[in-house]
Formats: sequence, C-alpha cells, structure tokens
Amino acid sequence: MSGPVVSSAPVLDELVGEDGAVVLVSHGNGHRVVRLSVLGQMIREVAADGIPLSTLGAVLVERLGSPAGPDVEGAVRVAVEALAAEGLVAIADPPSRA
Amino acid sequence: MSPDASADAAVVFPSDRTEDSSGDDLLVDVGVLGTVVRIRTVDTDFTALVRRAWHLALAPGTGREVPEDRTITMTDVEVLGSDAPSERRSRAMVALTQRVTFTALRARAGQAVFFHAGGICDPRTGAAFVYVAPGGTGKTTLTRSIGPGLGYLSDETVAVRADGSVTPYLKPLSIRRGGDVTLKDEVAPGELGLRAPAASPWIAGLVILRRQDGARLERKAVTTLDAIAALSPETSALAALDHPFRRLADVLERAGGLEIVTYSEADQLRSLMDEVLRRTR
Repeated sequence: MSGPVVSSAPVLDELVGEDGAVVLVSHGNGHRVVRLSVLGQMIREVAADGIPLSTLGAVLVERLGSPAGPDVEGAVRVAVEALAAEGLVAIADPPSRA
Repeated sequence: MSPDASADAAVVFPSDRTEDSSGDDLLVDVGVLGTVVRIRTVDTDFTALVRRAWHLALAPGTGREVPEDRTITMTDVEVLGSDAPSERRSRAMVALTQRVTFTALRARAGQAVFFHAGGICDPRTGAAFVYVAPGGTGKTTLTRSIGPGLGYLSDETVAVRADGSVTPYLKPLSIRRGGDVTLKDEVAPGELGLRAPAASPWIAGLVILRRQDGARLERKAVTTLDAIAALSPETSALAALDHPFRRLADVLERAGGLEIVTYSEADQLRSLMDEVLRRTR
C-alpha cells in the first residue's frame, strides 16, 4: 500500500461527547484548547494507529455515512489538513521498502 | 508538619478573621485561594494601607512559617514612602494585588479549577453565582452593583474545588479611577458594602458574561464540550490539573451547566442572580 499515512498526534487531555470533542494541546510555553467536530474527532479516532489517507474516506463513510457533496476524498483531505495545521494529526509518507 | 502544609492549614474561614497577627509592623499575612501569602513592606504607612485594603483576607496566627516562594517583598521606598504621591501608591497597590494573585495561583496550581471570574454567594446557604469574563469586561462593576448584602467571593479569580466548594479570594476590588483606563484603585470590600461569606460557598451557577452597549439580556445554554472550549481560555493553571477536562465537566455538572449571557447593565442580571442564589444542594 502506498501514499501518505495519517496518524493522530498525542494530546495533553481530551473529552469526547456526542457532538465531537475538546482537546488540550501544548502551545509554546502553555497550552491551547481545540474544539473538534464529530468528523474531526472520528478522523483522530480511526487514525490512532495510523491509516493510509487513501482508505480514510471509505472508513469514515462506513462510520458516519456519506457526506452531502460528491467529492468524499476532497472533503476528507481538507479536514485532515485542518487537523494537521492544529497539530492534531501527522501526515507522513510510509517507510520505503528495500 | 512541613512549612508548606503549615501555610495551607492556617487558612481559616474569612469571617473569623479579626486581626492581622503577624506580630510585625511590616508584615501582612493574607489567606488567599486556599493558601497564605506573606506581604513584606519597608514602610508602616504602606503596610497600614495594605491591611485596610485586604481586611477581609487577613490571616490570624503568630509564628507562622510561610515559604519564601509565598512571600512578596515590596522594597521600593520611593513608591511606598509616606510622602509618595497617591498615584504611585495606587500603582504599587495594583502591582501588589497582581503579585499576590500570581503567587497564590502558582502555589495552588493543580488543587482547584481557577476561573477568571467574579463571584457572590447567598450569605446563609453559600449558593454561589460565578461570572466568568476577561479582564476589563465588567466583573468588578457587576460585583459592586449586586454584591452589597451578599457574600463576596472575588472580582477577579474564583477557585472551585473537586467537591464543588468555592474558595474565596477576598481581595480588594480593582476599580478604575475616573476615565483613566490605566489607573486603578484597590478598594477595600467593606467600603463597598461587601462582606465575607458567612456560610461555606459552593458553586450553584456559572455563566460567561458578554457585555455589549445597549444589548438586551440574552441567555444561551451551551453543550458541555462548547462550554469547556469557551471556559478554558478563562482559566489559570488548567494543565496542572489531573484530567483537566473531566474536572471542568464536573464543575459544569455541579453548576447546572453553563450559560453565555449577553447584557449591557448590571441590573439586568439581578433576576438571574436571584435564580441561582435560590438553588439548593
């Protein structure tokens, strides 16, 4: 399997509810609180042990249902990039095989 | 007993305090946020000023050991001396309050949830109304307006412990002088008709205040997760708690949730305050 892998980043604390989650992340010398939607929380959950970006959309559709628009992959990529910008997931290329 | 434990154990209920008994004209011990902070000055007039402004927080007891990291030394004779202009003394008093707050928060980090909030309570039941707001957005004005006759908890920082009890911070109120936004006076609570709570306070209601000129009163309940996201920036030392979000959620549950309240004048909040103070445990 190829392509980037999405992995959840560790946080200082989190609380999950029916309407998403809040997470506490390090920020400079202090900390910052980020409110996550249900989608954002689900991405972090399924990426706990790392998941290829190419299969993430299918897993999310299976768990949450199809989104309104036709471009599932595009919507997932936008969400993942937003989480990465907050330091909540890491996107990395898979290790190459010798 | 370690000095640290001694300082904490020495805190008594504020209404029992009748004297400052540090036994030294240049020392003032104050019980704040569950610990004792010692203020050391170089001028007896300034010490008297401190005792007057902090009268509800004076901690009795002689021979107390206060750790060095809970001792504040005010050494600037030019500022504190009896011939210093009142403006300089006012600035020194404001700076002192900030140092007391910082010292107490550092000492008590991890022991309670510390909100940037004002609070008052029913003097008989201890039911506390806690109003969270950033600095300069109405906490002190509201406390002055609705507080007389009730138990005063703070106009700046309110500590809520794991059992829902509220630890008062009986500081002087920081009141802007006239139209000068940079100059404040530290005014003794008693001069404003405020008194220490006569019953142990507990959290009965929690709101975030949004003051807007001309606004009508609006109350909006929010979900637990939205409440935590909104409250977290208005806390101190949150990350020092074990499971900070669980602690915040516990506070919310004890308070009956969080409302975000938009208002323009303090009087608009009286019915909400009455509603909260009528609550029972």
